[in-house]
Amino acid sequence: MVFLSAPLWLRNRITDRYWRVQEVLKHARHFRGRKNRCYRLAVRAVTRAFGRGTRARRRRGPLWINRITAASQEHGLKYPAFILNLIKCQVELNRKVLADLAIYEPKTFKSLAALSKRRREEGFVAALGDGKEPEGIFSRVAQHH
Amino acid sequence: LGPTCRQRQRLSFSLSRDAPSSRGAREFVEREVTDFARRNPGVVIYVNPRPCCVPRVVAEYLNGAVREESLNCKSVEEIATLVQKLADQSGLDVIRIRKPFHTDSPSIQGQWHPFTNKPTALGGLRPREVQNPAPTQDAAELLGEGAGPRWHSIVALPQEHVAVAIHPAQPAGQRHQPIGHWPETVCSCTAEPPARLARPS
Repeated sequence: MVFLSAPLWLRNRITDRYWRVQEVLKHARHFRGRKNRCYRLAVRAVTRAFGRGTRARRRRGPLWINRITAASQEHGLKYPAFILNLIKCQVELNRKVLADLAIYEPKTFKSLAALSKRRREEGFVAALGDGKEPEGIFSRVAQHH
Repeated sequence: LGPTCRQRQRLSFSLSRDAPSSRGAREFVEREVTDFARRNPGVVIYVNPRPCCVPRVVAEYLNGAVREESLNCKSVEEIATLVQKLADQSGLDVIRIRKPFHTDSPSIQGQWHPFTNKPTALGGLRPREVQNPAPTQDAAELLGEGAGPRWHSIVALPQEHVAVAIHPAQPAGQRHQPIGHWPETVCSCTAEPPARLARPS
């Protein structure tokens, strides 16, 4: 750096402080109290809000899994068995949708649990029966492409 | 003005006759506003020439939102793009959309509550009361019978809520056994689900 004395240093001044401040305050406009007006408080609040949002996104997955576990336990199934047999039946529902169904459409979730249970039993029969039984109805897989 | 169309918004230009800052606005009004009005029949355009320092355009939308933009010292092309943008907008706020979906009735079958999947009893059971003590013997018998050919009769585990009804084991001569039945809502069999065993606490 070439600034060897204070007068030379002061030649560099910030001219866009207003916009730098607004960049932070625009994310704090819906906050409560002085956090939505004062920059010093808003910086802390916005940093915490962003961190909380990032961490919540990471914890969403396990939350869904816990909810699906609880709902399938109500119907007598464990989570791995439920998901595995649903995949085997080519029901490609993700955990978010399954969790929402478990909360808002309990009868649909019950029928999904029954489907999974039936497929599980057909799987047991196919594995233990050594080919003497005909193939189960729900074990039929639709071949695409 | 051609086929009937619904009004979607109102654009009001206020510009000055003489000031140099509204030169672009004046040229826009002379040259391009008629074509613009013809291209967008759903937009009503008002032009108010009055002595003002700063020419403005006020856009009012059907949902009541009002947006005001300044046309101060803008060129004709800039004003054209700005006016086109205002005409294309709906009146919704230009803020972050938190969720791309919204529903007023999230639940069709009824939201889950702790008693959704619990069986009900006539007369009302208290929490750890067994319904009738007799069927525990039948369940024990069935468990004993089903020990032979496992793949013919799969006995569902007696739990609080049974989705698969129990059927007695059939003789080994018959080949095609029903593996398990569909839940009682679809199945028409009248077999009673086994009573809830007392939970080991």
